[in-house]
Amino acid sequence: MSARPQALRHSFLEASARERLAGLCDAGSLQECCPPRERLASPHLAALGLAQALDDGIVVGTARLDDQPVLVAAQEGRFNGGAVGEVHGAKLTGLLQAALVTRPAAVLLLLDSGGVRLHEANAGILSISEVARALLAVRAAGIPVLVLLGGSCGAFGGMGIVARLAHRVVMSEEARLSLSGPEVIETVKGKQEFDSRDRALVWRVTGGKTRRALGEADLLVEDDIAAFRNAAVATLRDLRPADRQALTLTALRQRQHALLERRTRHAGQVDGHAVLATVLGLGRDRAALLDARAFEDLLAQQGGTPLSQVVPEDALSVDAALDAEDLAFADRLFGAGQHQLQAKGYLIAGTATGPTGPLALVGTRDRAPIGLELALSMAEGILAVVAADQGQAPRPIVLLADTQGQALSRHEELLGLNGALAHLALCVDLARRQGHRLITLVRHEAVSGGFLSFGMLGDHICALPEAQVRVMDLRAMARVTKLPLEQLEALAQTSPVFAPGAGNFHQLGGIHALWSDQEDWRAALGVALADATTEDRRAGLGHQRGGRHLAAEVARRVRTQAGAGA
Amino acid sequence: METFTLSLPSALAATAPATSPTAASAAPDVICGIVASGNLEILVEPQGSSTCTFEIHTAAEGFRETWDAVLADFVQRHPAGGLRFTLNDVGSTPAVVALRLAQAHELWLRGRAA
Amino acid sequence: MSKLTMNDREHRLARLSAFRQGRIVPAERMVEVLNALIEPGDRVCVEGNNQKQADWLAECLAQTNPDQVRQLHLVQSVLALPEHLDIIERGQVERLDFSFSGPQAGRLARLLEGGKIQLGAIHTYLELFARYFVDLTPKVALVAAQMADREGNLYTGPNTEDTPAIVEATAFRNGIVIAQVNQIVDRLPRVDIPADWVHVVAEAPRPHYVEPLFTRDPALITEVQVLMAMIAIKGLYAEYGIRRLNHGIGFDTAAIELLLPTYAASLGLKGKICTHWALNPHPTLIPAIEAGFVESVHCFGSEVGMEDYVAAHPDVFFLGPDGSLRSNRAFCQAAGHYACDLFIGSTLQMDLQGNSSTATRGRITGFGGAPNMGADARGRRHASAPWLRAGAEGARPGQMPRGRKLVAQTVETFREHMAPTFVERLDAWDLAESAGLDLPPVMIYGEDLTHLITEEGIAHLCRCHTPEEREQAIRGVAGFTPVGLARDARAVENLRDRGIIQRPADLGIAVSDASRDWLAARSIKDLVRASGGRYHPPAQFRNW
Repeated sequence: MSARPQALRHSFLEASARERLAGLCDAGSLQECCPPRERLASPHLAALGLAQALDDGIVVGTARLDDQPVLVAAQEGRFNGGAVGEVHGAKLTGLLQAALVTRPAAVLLLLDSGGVRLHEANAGILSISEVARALLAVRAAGIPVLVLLGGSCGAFGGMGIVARLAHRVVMSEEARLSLSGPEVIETVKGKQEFDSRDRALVWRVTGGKTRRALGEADLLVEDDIAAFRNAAVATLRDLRPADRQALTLTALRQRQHALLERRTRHAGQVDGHAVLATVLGLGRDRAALLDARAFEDLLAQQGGTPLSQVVPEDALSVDAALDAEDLAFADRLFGAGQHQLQAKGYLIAGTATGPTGPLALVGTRDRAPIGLELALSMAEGILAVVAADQGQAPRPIVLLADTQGQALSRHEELLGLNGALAHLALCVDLARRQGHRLITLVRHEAVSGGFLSFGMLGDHICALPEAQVRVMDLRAMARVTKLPLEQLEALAQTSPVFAPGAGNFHQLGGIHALWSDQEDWRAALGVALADATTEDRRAGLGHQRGGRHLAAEVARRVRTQAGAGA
Repeated sequence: METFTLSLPSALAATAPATSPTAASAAPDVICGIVASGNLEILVEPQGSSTCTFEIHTAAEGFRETWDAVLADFVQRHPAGGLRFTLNDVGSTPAVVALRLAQAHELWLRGRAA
Repeated sequence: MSKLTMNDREHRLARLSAFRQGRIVPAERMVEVLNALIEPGDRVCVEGNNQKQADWLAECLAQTNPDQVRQLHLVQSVLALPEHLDIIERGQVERLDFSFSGPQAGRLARLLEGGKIQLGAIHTYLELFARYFVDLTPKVALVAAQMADREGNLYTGPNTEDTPAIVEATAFRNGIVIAQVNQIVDRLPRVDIPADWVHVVAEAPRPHYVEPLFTRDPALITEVQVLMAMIAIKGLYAEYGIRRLNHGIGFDTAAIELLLPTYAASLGLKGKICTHWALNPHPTLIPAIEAGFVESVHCFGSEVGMEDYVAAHPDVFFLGPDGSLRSNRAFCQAAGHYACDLFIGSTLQMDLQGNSSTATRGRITGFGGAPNMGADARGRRHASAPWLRAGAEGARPGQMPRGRKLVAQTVETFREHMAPTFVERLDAWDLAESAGLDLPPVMIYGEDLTHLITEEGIAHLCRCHTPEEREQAIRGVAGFTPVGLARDARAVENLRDRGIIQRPADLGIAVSDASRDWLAARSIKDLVRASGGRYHPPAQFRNW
């Protein structure tokens, strides 16, 4: 007789990635792609003398949910914080690509990740960008994508953005969904901005209840694998045909309006207490003990109604002439008098006559920190171009990227900066689907989250001569990874996977072309426009250039094993 | 990192395919544990030889004697001949290693019985 | 040292006429009060309990005039605050007698080594309280309470802890009691210390600090700890039918508490074990209380956030007429020593005689109460079944029959970073040498230890007949540590045959069944749920 306990509740939080999938899918239905016996571990961790996992911290495969075929992925949050590296990301990308061929009833993503794996940061952020592109394609194909968050890492960094690209997000109170980790904000902005050791505060800003109250998550569930399964089944059942269709201009304009309204409604708030008070009329700590069902019931009674009474402030619009530096840049790129660009703050936008005719430009300037306002302004700019070209030839759009990364503040995190950046990504993707060719130009700096949701989504990405592209500088990386700086510096000589530099990203396939100072930029833009393709070929390019050996091959293997052919 | 392989004699484990050969190829891997501080993952596979083989990758260097003792104890207590164990370890104590090995072995047996 | 006379106290209090209205003085004048009251060479107790701290008074003392307030003899149980050490560093202290230093252990060791002060002795709590009534009576006691009324009566709230012992010794031997309170009110919920034992009261600028020392997050309990809890329940608690007990404060014993309503209940042990406790209100005991396992709990102190839960259980806890907990460290220590049949706790190191110690080089932590809990009560005369059985097991033929307290240690064979728990020689020897202590600081002596539990099984040391057998029994459960690997395999197998060593399999426990699924609560939130929302964990333990 087995002495095994009959647990009343199987905690999703405590379970491993495989245990979560086993409990979520129909019993025995999971068929893993690239399972541990194939030993697709990260060579980059091995190069640093660090422990590898046989599955690189992610389980992907085919399964059934309520007797319907589904594709599933589960990140293992306890292996390196579920962080995304080359192999890990390629498994996820391959799975999403397979969905386009096998057309399952849904794709379920059990995310549990702090974002980019710093030990292979460049490959990692590229991987996340490829996951985002693949997810957008699956969504556009009308296949529902459901994100389930219940792990200890939640979804942060790039994966916080990816989570919000899905049709629906189901999460538990214990899970977190945000962009910058509280530790990062505390390090840069100080303890008074965000005390990362105040656990209760961290959850009030990023945790499930606040996210659900804001609408950043669609359903709150208990920390119970069975509850997640029931939620997944119900959510898919309740998804209307209209919800499954690719997002339209009208739908994205409505989302834009809703996000602007929300920003006004929660202006100045820095604590989940305030959000819950605004949305649910609950006093301090009153929400804490409500179980998921009671919380949903209360939300159904209270939430949603008063929002339409809020008059949103408009998104930032551009109305100022370019300064001398920007003007010189625009003149060189388009020719003097060939552009009508304006700027305001960190935003730059307008139209120009390009080498192939009229084009539009939307972007950031002056090493912009990208916060809610700027993200929504850029989204507004993209939507305006798409709207203007309805019924006529869509103009190419130049995405001008000059960003130091996402803005760091507790308020921005509380209001879901990751969600705003995901919205921006959805708008960029709409433009692509409407036939606008997207050319990214990296001007001074392109760093992490701000770049991911915008510039990295271009069809063709070019770096200007002085462009700095990075996730994190080596010193900070050494501090976070606790590896000696000398070791990182030495390895950076031979490996492009983690050290800053546009050249490294070029070798990895993340940048299509490096522009030189001697070059005719207008002509180079013409070449970029001619070369631009809507298909994401960066993994193949990285392989061809000898920077990324595994991404393309791993994704191909997953596609094959998921029944999608090569 | 320290890596080594060790083969030890042990009573034969049930290594035959669980069901038909076609179904066996789809049988899930027998794996338990997670690569995290103070923890390890263990993959169990059948192998041609009748001994029990361990492939150890550990982040904690200099504990070869302890490993030898733990593994010798394991093959004595459990019939593990014909099996290959791959371990990725991040500084687990012997208590955790022994517990994971017992869990992995039981998962293997359960997989055979299924 | 000045001779104590009634005149002396009256004389000193007379110096306060400018400050004092009745017993109450304004907070901003407390430093002046201390300067006026304390004389060179005074024995001073700054109430520092395990949890509650007279932290504001400690701060005031550290601001007194060192020319006046000097050559003090500190006599207090816990030196946990930086201010306690500041007073020493300022040269105002000549001599120190204490029990436990916790977070200040490193700094204290440096001050002692630097010759800044003389060390009287490191006591257990009961010993220090006892000496308050013999030769270490405080002249001035600085204590903390939750509230005072305008007469000076004190309400200590759930954390009564050491206050009654300190105040009784001081007030009845011509000393002066000064209390900091969080609030002065018209009417107290209950009176814990009567006003005529108190001489000066001030409303502190902020509430006194209370450390949540006994909260163990179930999320951090490991499978190995679950396995050891299963071994403890089956191999020790069920085997001896232990109903009256005390637990240590680590995760190992928290695991046992959380397995009572699940694993122990599945073995039919409800009502047969763990019914009466000398224990702080551990949040991890909530599921067992709710499952009806527990009949009574008397507490040394309290625990932050447990106030409402405890108040809702007058059936289990000792409550005042106001409905809040009344704890008392001195009585609970006595209860743990004389009224409990089992103490079980954990340690950092154990040698082959079974002596255990938490001492590490460069840190003087002291003892607290564990040595009294974890020692045979040789003065005990009342019998109970577990006590009689433990006594009989080790008895030689013809020996006078007597009982024995069960003292168990539950340890993993290796700690973090592969440091072996079992060693040939305790670090305590080195510490005694470097710090000039009279004795190596041993927490529990081997001769008192009856049981040892590791992930390898349980060793019934009280069943051994010779020191050699004991040594092999310890080696037998010491696993893969050097000490364990050096065991005599035949001798160990012999001990196993005689039931002195029991492996998990011998107890019918499959190692792979050691799952966290057995935990009646797997997170702090589960504990809140189990409490019906009455447990309010501090922010550092919440994720909401």
